[in-house]
Amino acid sequence: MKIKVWCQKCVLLLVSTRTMVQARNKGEPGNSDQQKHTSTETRTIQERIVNVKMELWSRGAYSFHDENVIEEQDESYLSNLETQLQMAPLQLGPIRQARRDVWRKQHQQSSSSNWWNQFRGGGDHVYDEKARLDTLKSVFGPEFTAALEQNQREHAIDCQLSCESFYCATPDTPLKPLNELLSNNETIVQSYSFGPVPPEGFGETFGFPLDLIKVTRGKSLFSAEEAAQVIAMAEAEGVEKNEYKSGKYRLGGDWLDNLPSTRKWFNEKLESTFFPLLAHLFPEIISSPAALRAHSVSLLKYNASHPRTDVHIDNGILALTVAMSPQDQYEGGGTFFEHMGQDDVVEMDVGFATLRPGSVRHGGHPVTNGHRYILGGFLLLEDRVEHVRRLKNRGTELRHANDLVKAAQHFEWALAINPKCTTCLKDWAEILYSQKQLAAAEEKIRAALDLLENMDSDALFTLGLILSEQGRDEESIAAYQQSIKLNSDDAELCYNLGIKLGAKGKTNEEMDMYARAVKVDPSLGGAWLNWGTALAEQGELDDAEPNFLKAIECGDEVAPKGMINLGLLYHAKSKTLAQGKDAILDA
Amino acid sequence: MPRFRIISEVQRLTFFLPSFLSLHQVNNDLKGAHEYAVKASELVDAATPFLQEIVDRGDGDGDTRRYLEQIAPLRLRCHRMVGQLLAALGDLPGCEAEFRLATEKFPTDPGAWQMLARILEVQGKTDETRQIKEKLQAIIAAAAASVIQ
Repeated sequence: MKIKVWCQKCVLLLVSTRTMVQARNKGEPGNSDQQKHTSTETRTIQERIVNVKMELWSRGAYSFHDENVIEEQDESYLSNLETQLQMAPLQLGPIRQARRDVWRKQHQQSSSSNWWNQFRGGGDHVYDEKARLDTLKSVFGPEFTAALEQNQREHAIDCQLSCESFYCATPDTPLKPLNELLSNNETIVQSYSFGPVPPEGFGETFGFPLDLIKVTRGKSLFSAEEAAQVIAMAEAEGVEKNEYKSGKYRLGGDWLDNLPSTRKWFNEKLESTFFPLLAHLFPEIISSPAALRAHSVSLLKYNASHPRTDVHIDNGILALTVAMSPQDQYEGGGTFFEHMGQDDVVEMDVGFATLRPGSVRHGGHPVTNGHRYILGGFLLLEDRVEHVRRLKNRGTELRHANDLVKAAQHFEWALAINPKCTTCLKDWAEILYSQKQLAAAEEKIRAALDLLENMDSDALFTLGLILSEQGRDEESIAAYQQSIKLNSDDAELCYNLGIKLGAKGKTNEEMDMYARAVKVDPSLGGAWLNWGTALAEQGELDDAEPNFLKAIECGDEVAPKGMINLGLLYHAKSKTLAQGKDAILDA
Repeated sequence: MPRFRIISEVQRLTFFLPSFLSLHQVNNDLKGAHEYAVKASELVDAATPFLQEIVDRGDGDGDTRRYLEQIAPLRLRCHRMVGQLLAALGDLPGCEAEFRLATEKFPTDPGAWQMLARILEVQGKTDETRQIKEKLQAIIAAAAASVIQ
């Protein structure tokens, strides 16, 4: 099998070399010639591969692209990884430093044959879920125990419902060999880093390092002709009649529950391809294909009016995305993972798939022309109840119901099971913020950002809000600006940053932000209103007028404000036109 | 499940005041000025019930209340502008009607009565002018008394 490894950060070679030299002088682990020599002599290739991967991970080299993860992890593969390691920039933030400290400690005590297992899932410790839950039951009492039991019941129902709609393998179903699934290795699987935080469910169980985003490459899993037939079938079933909402975006498409013929095809693919492939790719978490359950499966249609999904995480321990349209039928599109940067788009042509844990933050790059169909589904594991996700979801529901105390309790429980549940920290911070407990809110959101190494635009947005509320304007602006670097398509963020910049007298930058905000979301009336106001304050009445008219079109609370400001503008115009006439009544 | 995102607690919609206008500009387009003044009046009248409704149902933020507080002085300025322009265009009865409307809407505002007194005086309606001026004095005295209390 051909191995292809490349590094997007090669341009940083000189810089990283210098940094590495400095690190060596400080005695940083993993850079000692003696240590490397020892490793080479005493460890197997497999061990050395894990070692190098972990070193890459600890350096924040998340964009490394690792093909051929399943088989043939040989000398050549190791050599490529080591080359990549030399090129990787040495970026040590506080969390990475903590990881490295753990790594160093363990590295020095490497007598254990499987020492690297100590770091699986983020470097904490080997995890015994049952023991932890039993301990927590005694800590939190019967309410917590009841919540776990509710999780189990809901999980069982979801799994049962899944089998009513989607293919479920029986326990005696044999696992198809990987060679067969990958067309004798004509199909390869490329891995991308999952980012700094392990999956929210069973994080400690997933393999280390977290190269958990798997994308098929090479030969497609099914042909373009087959995909075209499926799309024609779905269109005949009325897939285009439905519309979803993803954050601020509208999406075309429909649930497969409403598209029976398309679902039949998908079920065949689950059986023949996706379930066995998943079982091979994630053996640490999937006990057998018979444990897999599909739910919330939909066929989405992207086009210029329905361009993308917002940045989000998926509601399942695993998720599956399948490209159903040839790349020559659309422009733009593709998925980006926030920790990799919004411009680092993972592209997939028709017949290719991405398989990964659900809890990584990702979004769609906008489709600007043509149309693109994507089949997406969330997956459960029948033998693993996702307590963290279910507690967190229930907490969110309680927030919607304005029961903030219970909501916070659920986030606390979820965090007790998984202290790295960053969405739990974020949601809890927002509750504290709404309760004006700003110091506590800041502590929670900063904890999430520390874990995520600041690579979360939503968390930075919330931090900006919290700091703003405390009157720490400069810090607030800095947080918003960090956020916008990660997700420049966030209209509310642009709007808030515009307000802060305007308050600092930076009117041109303020107006730029409003312009960006309404480009993303033309219905954001506040941005039209403030943009018009900024123009009017500069005397640009003619330019301000259409903005106020747009604000009025947006309706809701902003419309009457737009009317008032437009009234002021017309009053001002009236005064201007009347200038020079000696009014007979100067009342 | 979508996140329940707090959008913002820092929305501040500026209520701009057009103090930027050049006082030296000479246009003399009274008809155009009148049209704009009427449009401004209509917009303020249209916005008022919406803003009031938002505040009444408790949904309004601080800005909404601030906007609502600005309605009265703005509407009074619109009355003054429309009336002045009608007078300048030679429509004195129209001006009087506009200022009477202002006193009906803002019966405790001395400015509204002052405008009405002025147009009545210009038209030679001396008796009514005297009555209005007496009323104006009473309103001013009442306002002063309330301030002292």
